[in-house]
Amino acid sequence: MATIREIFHEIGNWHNKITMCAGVTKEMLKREYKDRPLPKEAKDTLIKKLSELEQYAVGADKVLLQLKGIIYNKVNPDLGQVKNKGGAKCLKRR
Amino acid sequence: MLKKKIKLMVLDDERDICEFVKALFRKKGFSVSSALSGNEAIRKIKKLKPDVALLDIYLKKGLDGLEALKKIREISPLCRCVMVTWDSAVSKIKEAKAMGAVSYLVKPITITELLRVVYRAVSGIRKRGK
Repeated sequence: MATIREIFHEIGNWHNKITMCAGVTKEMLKREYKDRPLPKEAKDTLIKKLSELEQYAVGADKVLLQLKGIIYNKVNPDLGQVKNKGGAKCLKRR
Repeated sequence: MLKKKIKLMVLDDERDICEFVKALFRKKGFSVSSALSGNEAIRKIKKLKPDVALLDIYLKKGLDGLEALKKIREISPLCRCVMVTWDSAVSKIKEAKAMGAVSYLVKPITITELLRVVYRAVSGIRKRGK
């Protein structure tokens, strides 16, 4: 079974793939369709949406980082054990 | 357009990331190779002598990015190494810089940042060549 650390790492990897994929596609569009008959409006919209997608993944990763900080503070991410009684109470309340 | 084909190597255990980097920089006129592990990177660096290397610090198996960096600095001291990491690994970034890394990128990487950092590393090579 994957540890908490590995799970967080995996989610982060997906965010990274989203930003990279969106960014590379955007670059390709800019270059490949520089002189080809894709309507300018369509090209601009696609580039804009890909930029937004990149930023969504960056935003998601920032939230993930916050969540990671809260969880790592309470739970050992490699062993899955609650660090102290105070932490256990805190987790139950949530 | 680049005057001479710059050789770039990417070390990342995520195959998709390697493919994205290859697709992006080949279109920009670079010669790009990739490695999925630290050991594979060392083998390829001995053979290909890249000008710039993008090294992921956290690798699941074998050598990690920092160990790979150390070996690369011995094998190919002129190779400009850029480290790739997460926010939480700030201490590792400091360590990497002390070991000779020229720059770093924090995941998730945007293409704008990636291009900026790699071109800056390349401009360092050009200055050195003059």
